[in-house]
Amino acid sequence: MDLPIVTYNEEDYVKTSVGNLVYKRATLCGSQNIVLNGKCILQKDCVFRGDIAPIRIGKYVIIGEGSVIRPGSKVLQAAAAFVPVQILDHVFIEKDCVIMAAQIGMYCHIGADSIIGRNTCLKECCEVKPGSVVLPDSVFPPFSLIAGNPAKVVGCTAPARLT
Amino acid sequence: MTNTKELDVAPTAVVVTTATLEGKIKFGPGCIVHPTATIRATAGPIEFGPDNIIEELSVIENLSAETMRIGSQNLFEIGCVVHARSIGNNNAFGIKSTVGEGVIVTDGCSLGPKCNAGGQRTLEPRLCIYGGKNEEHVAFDAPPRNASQAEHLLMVLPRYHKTVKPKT
Repeated sequence: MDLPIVTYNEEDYVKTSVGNLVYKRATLCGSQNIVLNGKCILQKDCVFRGDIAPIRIGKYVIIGEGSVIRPGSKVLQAAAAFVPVQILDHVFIEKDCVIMAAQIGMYCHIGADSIIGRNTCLKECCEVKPGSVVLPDSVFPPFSLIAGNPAKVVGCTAPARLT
Repeated sequence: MTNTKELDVAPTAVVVTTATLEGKIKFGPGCIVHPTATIRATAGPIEFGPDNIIEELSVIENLSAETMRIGSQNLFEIGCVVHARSIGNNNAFGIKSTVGEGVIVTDGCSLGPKCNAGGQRTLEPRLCIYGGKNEEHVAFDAPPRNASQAEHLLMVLPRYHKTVKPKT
C-alpha cells in the first residue's frame, strides 16, 4: 500500500548510521539485544523489550506510535523461556499494537490497536485488520487477511488476478 | 517519575524506576513491575501481595479512599487498566482489558484481551471473561501460575534496569 507523506520533527528523532529513524524517547530496553536491519522507523512512544529476549527487525519496518514489541513466554518442561521476536522486512505496524509474535513475515501489515498474541507466526503478506486480537500460538498462512476477536482468516490479500 | 519515599518495596521484589509510581504503594515479595507500567495510589493506598507481575503500559489506579488490596500471583498484562476495589489471588488480566471502579475481583478470575468488567459487581472465583463480546464462563481451574515466567524476569530485569531499593 502507498503510505501518505508524514512530516516529522527532526529534533525528536535519531538517525543511525544504517538509516534507522528512532524516536528519541522511545522505550528501548536491552538495546544491545535489539537489531534493526536498516531504514526502519520507530515512531513516538513505542516500547521494545529487548531485555526479556532478543528482537530482530528487518529492513524498512515501520513501528507505529505507542506499539509494544515484547517477547512472549513459552512454558517448556522445566522452566519458561521467552521467545525472541523476529519481524522481517517491509512490515508496517500501525499505532497502539501489542506484538508478542514469534515471527512476522515480510510485507505484513498490522492494523492499529491490534494484539498479536505470543508465539504466533504470521507468514508473508498477511494483513491484520485494526482492532483484531490474534490468539497465542496461532500460525497464519501467507496472504491471509485476518480480522476479528478472536482473529480468523476472512479473506486473501493476494491481488485478484492471482486467485 | 517515582516518589520513592512513599513506596514500600519488599527485598525480593523487582520494581523498575522507569515505571510511573505515584502515592503510597506497598509491594510484597517477588513482585515484578515492568518499565512503563503506571501504578497510581491517587485517592488511597495500594497494597500488593507477593508474586504479582505488572507488565508494560498497564494502569492500576486506586480511585477510592480505602486501601486497594491486591492478593498474590496476579498477572496484569500489557495495557490493562484496573480500577477494581480489591483483587484476590491468581487472577490474570489480559492485554488491554479494563476493570471498572465498582468491581471486586475474587480468586482465579481471568479476563481475555480487550475484555471489560464494569459496573458494581463481584467477579465470582474462576470466572473467565473472554471474546469480543465479553462472554462469561466459570472455569474449573484458575489461570496458570506465573512462577516460571517470574523466575526468569527476576533474574533478567535487574541487569537492564535500575530498581527501587527496598526500605531497610
